[in-house]
Formats: sequence, structure tokens, C-alpha cells
Amino acid sequence: MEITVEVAKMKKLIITVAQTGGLHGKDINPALPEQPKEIAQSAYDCYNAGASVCHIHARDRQGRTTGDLEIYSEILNEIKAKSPIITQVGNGIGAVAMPDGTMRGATLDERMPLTGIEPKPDMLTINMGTFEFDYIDSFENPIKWNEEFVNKCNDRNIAIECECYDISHIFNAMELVRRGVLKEPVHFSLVLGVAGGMPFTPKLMSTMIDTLPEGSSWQVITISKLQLPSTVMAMCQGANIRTGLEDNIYYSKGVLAKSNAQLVERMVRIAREIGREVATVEEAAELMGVKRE
Amino acid sequence: MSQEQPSNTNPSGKLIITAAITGSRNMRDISPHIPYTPEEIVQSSIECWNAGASIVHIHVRDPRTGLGSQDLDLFRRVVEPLRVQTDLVLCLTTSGIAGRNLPYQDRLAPLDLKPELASFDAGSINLGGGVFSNPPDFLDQAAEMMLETGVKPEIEVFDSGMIITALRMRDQGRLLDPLHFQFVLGTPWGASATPRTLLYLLDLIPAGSTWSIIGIGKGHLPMSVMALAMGGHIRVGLEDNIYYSRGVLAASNAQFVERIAALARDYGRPVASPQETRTILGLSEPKNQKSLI
Repeated sequence: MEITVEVAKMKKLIITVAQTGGLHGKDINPALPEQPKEIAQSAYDCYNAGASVCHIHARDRQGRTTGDLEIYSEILNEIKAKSPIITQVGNGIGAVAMPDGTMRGATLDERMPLTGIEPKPDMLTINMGTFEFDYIDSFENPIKWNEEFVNKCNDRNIAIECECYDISHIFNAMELVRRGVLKEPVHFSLVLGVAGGMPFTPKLMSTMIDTLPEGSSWQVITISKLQLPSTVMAMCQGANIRTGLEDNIYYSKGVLAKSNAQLVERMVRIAREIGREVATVEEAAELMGVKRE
Repeated sequence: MSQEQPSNTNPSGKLIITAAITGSRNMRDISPHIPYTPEEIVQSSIECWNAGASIVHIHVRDPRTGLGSQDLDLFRRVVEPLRVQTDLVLCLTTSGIAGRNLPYQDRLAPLDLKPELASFDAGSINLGGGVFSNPPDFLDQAAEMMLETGVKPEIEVFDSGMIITALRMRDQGRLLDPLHFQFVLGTPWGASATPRTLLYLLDLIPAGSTWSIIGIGKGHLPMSVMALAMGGHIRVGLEDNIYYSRGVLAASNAQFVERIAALARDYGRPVASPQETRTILGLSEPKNQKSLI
């Protein structure tokens, strides 16, 4: 994709906050929201700070990652009651704890029912390829399964974000476009720095950006200490960005973030300084083709 | 230099901000805020110092006409007050006046004042409507004088061949490690101000070099942010860019410095003091009187 560096020509910046995730919990940062009311309060604070999309994972009452649809319903209801932020559910669910204490990735059969969550989320993510996620487990995302997942989302008018962890994943997304399943413009997430996928370096990110089809909208997700460098670099190349305690529990080296909103606030300040306007919820919905009722 | 990871993941990587106060090219017909007289140049430099700049890049102008000048007395009227009133690192130009290609001795005259840094344009290039001429014999003479006077060359790079030239001169013993590069990207007919251009140039410079970047015009903010995230340093100022944002003239040089200092604060890269700048660049003993008190 042809990239402009002229800030004034870039679209407004969509900030997504990934508040909870499906891996770590309050044990490593007590500010990470786990229960539905906490998640909704944090989403409200992030909305006020400038986030327009809230990426959602669910936890059970003990804070363990879960695919329980009732908990997802509760989270969505609580968020919608407090703010108009765009809701986006991650279709990977996360790492589920087994009775013997080991972790395994959620299975395809546990993940498919996410297409039926009530109330309807505005967006769902799909993951565009199979790889060894963080060396925890094989993260299976067969193309046939993705096709079925997207078809179910289309039936309910749920918008899709395509998570790409390596170059081939971008082509897998375009294959779903070719099959008439995924609608253009495709909204891509370039996820760099998860072990098993593409690491983050400025050059590798540049290669990923070059590979994107013209007209795509896209954001960059990286984790941990690489988040800030990659995010500001992406921001001045026209990307949207994601931040939040799912991706990074620290505000700076050795200093835990106090809240998701604190991370959003910093990105808003940086965006203002470089002259990128931050998209409102309504503007973000239009840019990503999200249809809201 | 292999930039496999942004080197600012090292938290001690302080940021050097250079302010290029006036240059010799932009005139008051396009921005009334450009300093002309020695007094104005001194005043603007002090404002930048207070805002976080640790280096000022100095050209002087005929106070009556505003036209660029290599008059040593005018340089003295800037350098002496700054040495008394600040501990700024002074970087004097040896470029002379854009498009006029002055005699070598005029271009090199400011070295008599023994600044800690002086610009060293490592090759010739088309610049706007003319030729910016830096033939090999000039470069040899400039390098020799800088070695004799203990002035560190700031190697200005307008395209990749200039790095190759500098490396050859290093191999000849004319330039000493560690080299300090200033990338000048986005000049009319020079290398473009894009992330990919910068990544390519960074591959060419030797490990252990330091580097800074000038994004001309609309490239200013994107290139500054790339440098911030990749462990480079940043030059700003009315010599390089008269607009603060699209269509809005910058009110002062300090306004540019303040924005970069604000970005650096949010990013978590502390701004280097002049003394820290001397350490980072390996400059010899400071010659400023103030720091000797």
C-alpha cells in the first residue's frame, strides 16, 4: 500500500483499547479489569479519554479466561449502558486454565459460538492464520473455519477486524475477499511481536505495510516494551493504533500502568502533538464500516 | 548500523534537540518570524535553550537585508553572547548561503571561533533551482581544518552517496569515529522524507555512530517521530520548516522545540541537557564560558 507521511492527509486516528485480554490478570497488574462492571467502567473512562473501540475478552468470577456467552452478554450490556464506545470481541478467547493448572488455547468449538453473542457486538476479530501463539499452544485458524465464522457475522451485520501475525495472513484475508465472504475495505490489525508470529522491527513493520492492499484501513498492535515505539512509528504512517493492559501492563520501564485510560490518554496527547485528529466513535464506525443500531 | 530493535529500548537514550534558528534561505516574505539580526538570533537561541534544545545550528544574515552572510564578525556577535549566557552546544554552518557556493575560505571562516560542532555537507546535490556544491577538495579541506581546530563535523546527508563519501573519508583518516550524522530528508530533489528511506540510510551508517534527522517541510513531524522511536536525535527550526501545522506559521523556533520536548516527555525519552549532549556526541571540553564558571 502507498503510504503518505503527510499528517494532514491522513484519516482520523482510531484508538482501540484492549483492556483485559485472555492471558495475564490482576496478579501482575491489579488495574486490569476482569469483571463486567469493572470492564464497563474502564471502557467508559477510555471513551472519555479518546478511545473509540473497546476490544473485549471475558473472565469468570475467579478472573480466569472464559468463553462463557452469558458473561460476554453481561459485559456487553454493562458497556452499552455506560458509553457508546464500539464493542469488539476477540475471537481467540485466550488461554484457558485446565484443572491440572496447565494452559491451553480455546478450541475452535468453543470459539465459533461467539458469533451468536447477545446483545450483538459491533465487531468481532478473526485471526488470519495458524501459528504457535506465544509458544503456548497452536493457535488454529483454518481458512474454512474463518469463512464460516465471517459468514455468520455477515448474517448479523457484525463488522470484522482481521488480525495478521505474519505476511501470509494478509493474503489469507484477501482470499476471503476473493471468495466473496469478507467485504472491502478490509480492516487489518498487524500484530507484531507475539512469539510464533512476526517479530516487531521497523523494517518488518514496513514490509507488512507494503503488503497491505490499497484502500485498507489498518492498525498496529505490538506488545510490551515495543508497544510505544511501534505505535508512534505507525501513527505517523497513517495507521490506527491499539493500546491497553492486554498488550502492555507497564506505563514506562518498571512502572505499572494505573489504568487503561492512562495509556489511552498518552496516545491522545501524542496524536495531538503530531497533528493527527482522534476519531470520535461515530467517525470510527464510519471509517471501519461498522453498522450500529 | 543494524536497527533490529529501536535502540531507545535502552531507557538512558536521551534525546538531543537541535534548533536551526534561521538558515540562509527562508526570508521574511514567507514568515515574519525568522530572526535576522545577531541579537534576534541570540534571543531565539536562548528561548530554544529554555525550551529544551541543547544544540543551536547557527547561520547569520546581513542585518539590513536579511540575506545570508559568512561574515565572521556577525558570527562573533552571536557566538560570544551565547557562550556567556548559555551552556548551549554551538554548531556553526560551513554551508554558506544556499545556491551561492561561496569561496571555500568564506565557508570555513566560522571555524575560527572554534565551535564544538560544525556542519559538514558530505557531497553535492541539486537543491531547489540550483546546485549545492561540495566537491571532494572542499570536503578534504573542511575535514582537515576541523581536525586541526578540534571541531566535530556534523555530517549532513542529503542522499545515500554522502554516507559512502563520509565512510571513505573515515577510512582515509580524515573523519574520526564515532561519526555523527544529520539526515536531511525531503529537500527539493534530495532523498525523500519517508520511513523506508530512513531505514535504508540507517543500514549504511557504522555501528556506534550517532544520528539526528531533519524532516524538511511536511516531513518534519513524521521523521521526528521516527527518530524519537528509533533512538535518533531531532533537529527542528525555522531554517527547515516555517509551518507549525498545515497552513499555520510557527510563531517561533521555541514553539517547535516545545512540541518535540512534549512528545519526548510522553514517550519517555528524557531530553538531553547540553552537558549530556557533549557526552553522547563525545565532544571535547566545553568552550562555553558559562559552563566553566
